[in-house]
Amino acid sequence: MMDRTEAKPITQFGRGLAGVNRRGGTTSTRQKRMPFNISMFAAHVPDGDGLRRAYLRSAVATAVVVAASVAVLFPSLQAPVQGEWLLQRVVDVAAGLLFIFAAALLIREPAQRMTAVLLALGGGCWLVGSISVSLPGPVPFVGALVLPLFWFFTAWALLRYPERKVATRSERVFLVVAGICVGGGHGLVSLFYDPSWTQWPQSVWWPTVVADRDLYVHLWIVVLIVDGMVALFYLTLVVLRLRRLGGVDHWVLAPMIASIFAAGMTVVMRAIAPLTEWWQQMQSMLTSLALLAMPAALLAAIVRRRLTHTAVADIVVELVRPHSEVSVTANLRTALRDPTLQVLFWVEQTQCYVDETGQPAADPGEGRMVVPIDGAWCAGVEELCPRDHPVGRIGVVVADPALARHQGLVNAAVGASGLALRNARLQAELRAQLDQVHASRRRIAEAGVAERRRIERDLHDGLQQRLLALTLTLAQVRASTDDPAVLKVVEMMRTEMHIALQELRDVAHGVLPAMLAQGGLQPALDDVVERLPLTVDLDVAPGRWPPWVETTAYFIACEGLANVVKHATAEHAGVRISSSDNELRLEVTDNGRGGADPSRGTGLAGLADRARAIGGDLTVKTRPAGGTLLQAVLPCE
Amino acid sequence: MRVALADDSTLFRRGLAALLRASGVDVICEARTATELIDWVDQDPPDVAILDIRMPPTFTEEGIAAAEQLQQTHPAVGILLLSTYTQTQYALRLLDHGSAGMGYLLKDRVDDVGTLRAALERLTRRESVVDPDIVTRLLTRHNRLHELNALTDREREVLRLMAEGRSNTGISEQLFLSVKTVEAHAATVFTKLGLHAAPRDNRRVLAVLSWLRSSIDTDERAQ
Repeated sequence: MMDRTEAKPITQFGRGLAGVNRRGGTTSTRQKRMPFNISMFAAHVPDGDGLRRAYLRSAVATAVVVAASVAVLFPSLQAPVQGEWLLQRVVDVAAGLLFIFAAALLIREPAQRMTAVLLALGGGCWLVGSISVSLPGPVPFVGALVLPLFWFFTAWALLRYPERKVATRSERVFLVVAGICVGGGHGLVSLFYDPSWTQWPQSVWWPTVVADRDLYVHLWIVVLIVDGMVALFYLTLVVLRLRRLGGVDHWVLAPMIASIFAAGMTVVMRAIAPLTEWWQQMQSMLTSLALLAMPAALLAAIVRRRLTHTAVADIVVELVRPHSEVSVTANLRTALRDPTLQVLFWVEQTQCYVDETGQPAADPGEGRMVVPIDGAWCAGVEELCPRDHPVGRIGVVVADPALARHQGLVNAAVGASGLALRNARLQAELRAQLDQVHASRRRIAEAGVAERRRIERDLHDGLQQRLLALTLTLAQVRASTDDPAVLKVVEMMRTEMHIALQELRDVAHGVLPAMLAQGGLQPALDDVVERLPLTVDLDVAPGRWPPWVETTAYFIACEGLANVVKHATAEHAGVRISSSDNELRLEVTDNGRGGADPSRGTGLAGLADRARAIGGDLTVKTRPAGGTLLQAVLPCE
Repeated sequence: MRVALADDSTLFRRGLAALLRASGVDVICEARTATELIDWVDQDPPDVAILDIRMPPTFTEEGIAAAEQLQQTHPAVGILLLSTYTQTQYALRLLDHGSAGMGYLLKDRVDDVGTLRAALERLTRRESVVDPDIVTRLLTRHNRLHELNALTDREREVLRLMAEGRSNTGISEQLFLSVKTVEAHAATVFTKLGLHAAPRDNRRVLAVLSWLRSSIDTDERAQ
């Protein structure tokens, strides 16, 4: 894991900043190392087997805890209890059980096992402390010792969530102080207590050192004040922590922080409130209720944590739509709840990163989290797009470092975005390639027309003129002799020359009608129409179009008319050429039987190809009134 | 007969000049371009000017433009346009401003000295000359087939010769008929085809060609 991070420097922000060629990669002076790496995150995601084992374990644990609780609770509820304490007892037991239940759920969270154990210990302490009051022997004393530890374990557990460790030095100091005060303080005070002061049965064993009620009350007040101060300390830590955490954690932890505050405040209130019995009972109830809320809040936090992951699913759903750089950035910001998040895109041509607007990206600055978006995120994709493929490297996500704790979430969101961006990029590349193909096809078509003109001109002005001159020479020969043998040969030659001339003209006409280049579509089509065995209504808008457009329109019209003659059994045909919005519109109509199908036969398909070759389009349909309508639109720019 | 000649192909120009001289025609000018020819004609008007349609600099319609210009500046000079392809449009355009002394022939035809000389003589007589190929094509067109079928063979012959630009006298010589008979046939043809223009020699060639070229639809639309 580490060696990958070391071996693969990924980011170089802007050419000027980094000065490193990705392929060369030799002379970096300010080369930045990736603070995070995919595999770092991936290590915590359990595989299928691990996940099944984790579920099994937590199920067993929950069953054991519930069974044990029932076993302990059953005799305790049998014991005689004063009426006003019964509700308190039920709330307390429920709170304890909820803590244990929350712990059972939490143990399934990646790397939260220790936190779950602490939470379960806290819940256990609370249960034992609450139930012990009605039990005989040394149990109430043990309960009195154990109950305060609930606060200690729970505080510890909540400090670890969701960070998996106690992060700051002050938090560690707090834990030591709280351990001494809560664990030691309460135990010490209980040595000055005599169970006979309250209504406890005589069978209760209590190691009373000095049974002095005044002393006990004073000590108890001191302990309450210390508890209150420790609670204040804790709440301060919580506030500090809240400020340290990022957007996702805020959202996830909000209900938990609220319940912690409520519980903490009851402890603080205990220190400053009068020691009347009613108030004590009231405060006790409030504390229990606040505690009841706490595991519920933890459960809510767990659910919320899971919910943030579903935002990734939304990104994946978005994949089916075409994606832009901007929309992916927005999606990532929403999914990861980090409005400062930036996506920087790698540009292969210039070898540098740019932001969404295409501007070269600035250095992200110290302390930002940088996560690469590339082909390695999704299994199976890497084989299709290896890293050195231009599409393989898409860019980086620069985000709030607080997100580092949500490796799975970041992992999934960036992975999904990677797919979306790859998708968008491939689409853009395809579009660009298609544009190139269209452009080159058109250039070829235009070059073809130019070549046709050249050949036609060569035939017409070169070869034909020579042949014609030869016929004149032959005419001179004929005029200068009376020899019948010579005249016979000359006459034969003349016939052959005329045939040759006609053939030459046919060839030249097939290459490109001279009339088209000279006079445009009107005379060229006039010429065509004159030779057809049906009446053709020709309507050509005045003016000229680019050579490739005229040539294409001419051939389409000719082929369309030839089809009419061949297949339509029509008496009338119409050719209409109009000009609009920098394009030529061509219509060939007839009053024949219709039913032409471009998908059958190569004639009409070939026409469509001709039209598309210069960026136009061609459709053929049977008219409702009868006959066929062939329409072509040819762009002129 | 004095003739001025313009064609950019040296081989063809020289051949034609030689052929004309051999048949007793006085070739006063052998120009390479239309402008050169116009300069010559301005200085010394011939009986007939022979021009290629396609000449430098653009090799498109220089001949036609020069013919139109000469028709304006030298109405007495006969003009024979030579082309390598039969283009009805050009023929009509040439005859549009007055058909007297205007001719349009395929280059293939000029190696027949007899035909060439006959054409030149007709032009000096202020007749018109339209290449038989063009007329044939127009007569076989589909759009007027129905009306043409209503004509007798003889009438169709007369129509053909009218379309070629011949005068009644010319037609009578061709068909070995009297001028009176030809006039009668011409009148019948005009009636049958619904041509309203008076069958005067000068304008009728254009009327006939236009009628042949137009389709029924456009004819009806025009009315």
